[in-house]
Order: sequence, then structure tokens, then C-alpha cells
Amino acid sequence: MANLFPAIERFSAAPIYRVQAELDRKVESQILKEALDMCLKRFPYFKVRLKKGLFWAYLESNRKPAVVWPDGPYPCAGMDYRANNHYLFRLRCRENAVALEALHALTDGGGSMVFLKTLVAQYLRLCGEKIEPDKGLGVWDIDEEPDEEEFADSFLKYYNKDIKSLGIKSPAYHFRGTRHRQDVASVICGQMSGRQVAETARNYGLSVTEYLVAVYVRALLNVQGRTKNRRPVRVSVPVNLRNFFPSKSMRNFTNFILCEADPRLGSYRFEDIAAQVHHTMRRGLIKNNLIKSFSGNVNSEKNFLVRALPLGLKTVILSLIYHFKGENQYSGSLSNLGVVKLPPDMERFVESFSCYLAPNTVNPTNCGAVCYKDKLVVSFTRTVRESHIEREFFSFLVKQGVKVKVKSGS
Amino acid sequence: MYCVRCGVELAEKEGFCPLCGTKAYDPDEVAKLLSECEGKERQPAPERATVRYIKNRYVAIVRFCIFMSMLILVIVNLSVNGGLNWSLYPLSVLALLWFCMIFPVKYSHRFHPVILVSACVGAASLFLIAIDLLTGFGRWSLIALYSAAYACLAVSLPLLAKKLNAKHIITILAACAGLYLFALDFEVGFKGWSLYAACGIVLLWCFAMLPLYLNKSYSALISFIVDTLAIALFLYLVLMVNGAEDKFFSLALPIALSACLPAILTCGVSKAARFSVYGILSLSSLSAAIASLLINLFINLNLKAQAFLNQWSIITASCCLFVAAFLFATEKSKKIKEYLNKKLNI
Repeated sequence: MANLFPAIERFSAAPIYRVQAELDRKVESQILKEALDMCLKRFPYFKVRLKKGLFWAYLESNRKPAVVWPDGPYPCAGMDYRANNHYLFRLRCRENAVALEALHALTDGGGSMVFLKTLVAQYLRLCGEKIEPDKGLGVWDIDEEPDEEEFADSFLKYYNKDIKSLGIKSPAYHFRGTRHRQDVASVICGQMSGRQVAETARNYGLSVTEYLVAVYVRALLNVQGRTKNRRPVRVSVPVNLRNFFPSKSMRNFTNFILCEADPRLGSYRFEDIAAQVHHTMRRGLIKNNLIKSFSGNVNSEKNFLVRALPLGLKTVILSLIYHFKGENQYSGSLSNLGVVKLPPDMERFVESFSCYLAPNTVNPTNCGAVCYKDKLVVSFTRTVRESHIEREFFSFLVKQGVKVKVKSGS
Repeated sequence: MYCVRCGVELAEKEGFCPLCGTKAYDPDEVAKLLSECEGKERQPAPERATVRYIKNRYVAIVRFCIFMSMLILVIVNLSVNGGLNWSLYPLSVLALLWFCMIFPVKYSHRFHPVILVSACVGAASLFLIAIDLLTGFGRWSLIALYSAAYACLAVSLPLLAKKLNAKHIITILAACAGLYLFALDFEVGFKGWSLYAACGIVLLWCFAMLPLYLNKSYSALISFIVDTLAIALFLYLVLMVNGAEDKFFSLALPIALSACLPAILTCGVSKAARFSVYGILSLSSLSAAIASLLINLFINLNLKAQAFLNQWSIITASCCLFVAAFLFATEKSKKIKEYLNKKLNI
């Protein structure tokens, strides 16, 4: 049984994200449903529903069957939980694509990717292909018994109880534009060569994530440059903590690093932004700093006053805290799931992967990136009509010598 | 297909660039049009000096205004009366104003805000003492001084004493509050009211803080025993001050024991039987039922009423017994316990 901060799990503005795989064949929803049911036995922590207690919302085993949905025109659209049999993830399929959309209450990008790979492998097996599981590459054996540690909350294992909650930063710049109607999120995907981006990043002494973040910060700075009352630009970069702390947990185990550039201090060259992002990321990724960054939140959850608040009040108060300490502090998110690898006997059936982050109420644009077979897909999701940020982002990459192929829609 | 404005390649299906809305052109024209676009690259915005150092200017202006006002007052008083008398009042006001307006601004980087505010409150207290002395020392300013000292202590101690636990801070503040009340009472000619307040503070401290200082295994049991003694002592004090000591053994002590002894027994039994929270709550409800009946009994005996028990205690005891029975059933049923644990998990 897990306690959940209910405020950020409001159904109306739930932070949904999506991981998607495109296969070499048309996806049959019946077979996919069969594969899903088989996979959920191996991943029982995904076969859950959200229940409300007096003090906390908690996850409880869901007896109803999971549903496979045809993909709609907009990714990461709000979930109809009742129609979805109260599952906290939604499996969608369209032509040759399988997409998994989930809430962070359930798991993070790393956990979702393992689930999606295992599901796709099982789907291909049901289609008659012979695919061996490979746990190291994220394709798990569905006949294996789930490990107890996969259910655990790893934050509780590694947090430091002496660290108090970190202070609130000043509000960051937020892009304002003409809003679409509710539940509509436009998507622009840029495909490029991962090797080419890595080489360009290396010229600045950066990793691919750092380089993409620097380009994103620059794009936000340039877009804000056209407005008055300038504010700091901050990009939130999710970090998969499993790479730093040994953990088998399939629950959410990520934290964020905020990379900042303050236009009030003067204009920035791209080299300045790159250096700032590089040092912020290096500093943030030191193990002790990671512990510091998430311990404050865990300690807040452990605070007796917070625990003793009834769920209704907690939802209201924590919504405000999440607004000021969360989305109000950054201008956008860039989540890089890194290089996705598959077992050789499965690789030829999967053509590409992509990742989408739903925009939140304050920041209308978010960005997800994933690389597979040298194809780096950077996807921007936005709830406004204007695509200034995407334009600044991709046109700068082109100026840097990276060949970018852009398409709209998922 | 490429976008001539953004330079990106467009997917086959895109008729317009999704980034800028420009119509997709033939790739052969891209090189020529891109070179035109590069010439129109936007210049970076000029750097702005946004940080303004107004602090020193503000301090200088305020200091000058106050100094000039003081000078004028002194000159006028000396020239009209040949000495300093009435001007001392506005001079002390100006001195206070100077301190409160200059000190926090000038030393904001060096001292903690709590120290700055405390210093200002201290200065205001000194100002009141000065006024009191100038008007023949009626001692009223001492009340302001005590209040200011306690307010400063209450605000600054939790913020400055980082090494102290919250429980130590609360204990120190409670002790200071007691002393403050005593001082106030003495200042207005000891009437004894501070004794009630101080004993009330001790009683509250016993209830709320004592368990935190005790060994966890027996904290509830020991603190209930100490609470019982504290309540008895408090009641005796109140009755003694009002000249009704005889009611202590006949009414106050039995009522106090009726309330406390079941609680002590609850602690002891739940500890021995290793009950979960539902078992403890069940025993507590049972204790409340017994306590309400006993209290009613002692009141009626003391008042020499005809009936031993009244309706209120019977209704209260019935409700408590019902709750106790439900909670005891929960303690014994694993299924209900699991359901409630989920719903009430804190």
C-alpha cells in the first residue's frame, strides 16, 4: 500500500506522459489486449487503481480488466478513469504504433519503458515471432515471479531525514500563448541522427542531454527576449535515480535538476548557456546532492502535520505547494530517456521509439527525447497555438549543422 | 522538402512547416533562401543594468532629515527656553525613528532579521522607559519592557537556536511565559492571578511536553501518572486560593482520579496485551464510559442527590461502550482491520 501526494494527481491536470513504439507491422488490438493481460501478471504494481482514504490516496489492486484504446488525435489527453476501469495507465494503438500513457503516481519513464518493451515483445511472440527475454535490455520474462523490491518506494530507502525542505525559487518565465481548448495538445517531433547530435554536443564538452537542455534554454531565452518583465528561464531535467542508487523498484524513482539562465543579468552566448547547464548538471548529479534534492520532499511527506491533514484539505494545500515549488519554478521540462536498446532478435521488428510529456497548467510546452537505432526523436507537446519555442529549438539545431526532420502530430 | 525559414526538413505529409507555418518549398530553392534568412538574424538585446544601489542613498537622506530636525529642535528650545526641556520628547521620538529606519536597512546583510527586529523592539521599549522617566517614572513602561522582551524571545529563540530541539524551545518559552506573568503580577501589586496562569502552564506542559522527554516504552504510562498528580495539585491550589480545601478530598480528588485512573489502567493493559491502535482506542472508550459514570456518582454523592446516576452519564457511557465494542471487534477481525488501516492510514 502506498501513500500518494494527491495534489499532483488531480485527474483534471494529471501529469501524464507517453512512451510509444512503432513496429514494422499493423498492430492488432485484440492480440495487444491478450499480451497486456499476460504482462500485467508479471507487473502487478501496474494492475492497480487509486483509492481515497481519510488522510491519503493509495493504490489498491484492480480486479477489472485493462482496456486497449484506439489512439486519438492528441497524445497525453486527460484520462477518463471510469471508462479505463480505473487503471492509471492507458494503452493506445494506431496503425503500427503502440503507446503507453501513464501517471507519475504509477511509475516513471524508466519503469514505463521496461513495461512497454516487455509488452511489445509479448505482442510479437503472440504474432509468431521468437523473442527471448533479456532483463538487462528491459525485456523481462513474463513467467518470472515479481520481486518484492519492485514494489518498494526507493525514496524511503535513500532519503536523509536531517534534510529539511528546500526553499522556493523565484517564479520562472512561462510562455504565454493562445490556448487550445481543453485536452488538446499539439505535437511537433524532430527526428535527427543521435550520432550527429552527440558529435555537436562533444564540441561544447557536453553530453547529449546537456546539449539538448542548453538548446532548450536558449530557445526559451530568445522567445522571452521579445517580452517585457523578464524572468529567469529554468528547464527541469528529470533524472533516473536508478542509475545512481541501486534499486529494483518499478515505482516512480526520479528527481529533477533545474538548469537556469537569468536574462536580467544580460544576454547569453550559447557557449555561456552550455557551460552553465553543464556545471549545473554535473553538480546536481553528485550523489549527495541528489539525496539532498529529494530528501526535503520525503521529509515533508513524513511531517506529522502534513500526515494528519484530511485528504480534502491536503489536496488544496498541496496543490498550492506543488504550484509554487513545482511547475511555477521552471519554464519547461526536458526528459531524455536516453538510448533505447532491444535484444537483437526483437530489434528488427521495432522501427522507432518516442516519448511525450504532457504540458502542465503553467507551462504550455514540454519536451521529451529518446534515441533508438541512431534515430533521436525530440517531441514537443504544447497546449497553445504558437510554436515559437519549437521553432527556436529546431532551427538552432539546423544552424549547428544537425539535420532535423520535423513532423507534426504523434 | 525543407522549410526555407527554419531550415528543417519536413516530413512528406507536411504541406506547411509546423514550426512557422511557411509553405513547404522545393529543396533546390533552400540554399538560396537560407542565405537571405541568415542576413536578417536578430541582434541580441542590449544588456540592462537592472540592479540599483538605492540603499546608501536612502540611508543618507533619512539620516540627513532626522539630523536636521533634531538640530532645529535643539536650537529652538535653547533659544526660546534657554535649556533643553520640552524638546527632549520629540528628540527621543526622532532618535527612535532614526534607529528603526536606519539600523535594519544598513545592517540587513550582517545580522539575522530576527536580531534587527528585536533591536527595534528593544529600542522602542527604551524609548517608553525614557518617556516614563521624563514624566516621573510611573513604572508602566516596565510592563512594556517585559512584554517586548518576551515577544522578542518568543520570536527569536525558535529561529536562532538551531541546535535546540522544538521541545526544548517550547519548554524554555513556557518557563519564560510563567516568569513574564509573575513579573506582570508583581508590577501591578501581586494579586495572585499569575499563580493560576503559571500552574496552568505547568499543567499544559505536563500534558503536551512531558511524554516527549520520557523513555518511549513507558512514556504514556508515566506521563499519565504525572498528569494525574499535576491535575490534583492544580485543583488543590485553586481550591486553596479560594478557601475551599475541604472540597478537595470530597469532590475534586475523586473526580480527578475517576478520569485519570482508567486512563492509567488503559495504558498498562494495552502495553501488557500488545494491542494495536484499535485495541487501545477500545480500552480508551471503555475508560471514558467508566470515568463518566464515576464522575457522575461522586458529584451526586457530594450534592447528596437522590439518584446515584443521571441521564447524561448513562447516555455518555452507553455511547462509549458501543464504540468500545466496535473497536474491540475491529481489533480481533483481520479483514476489518486491514480495510480501516488502508482508509485511515496516516
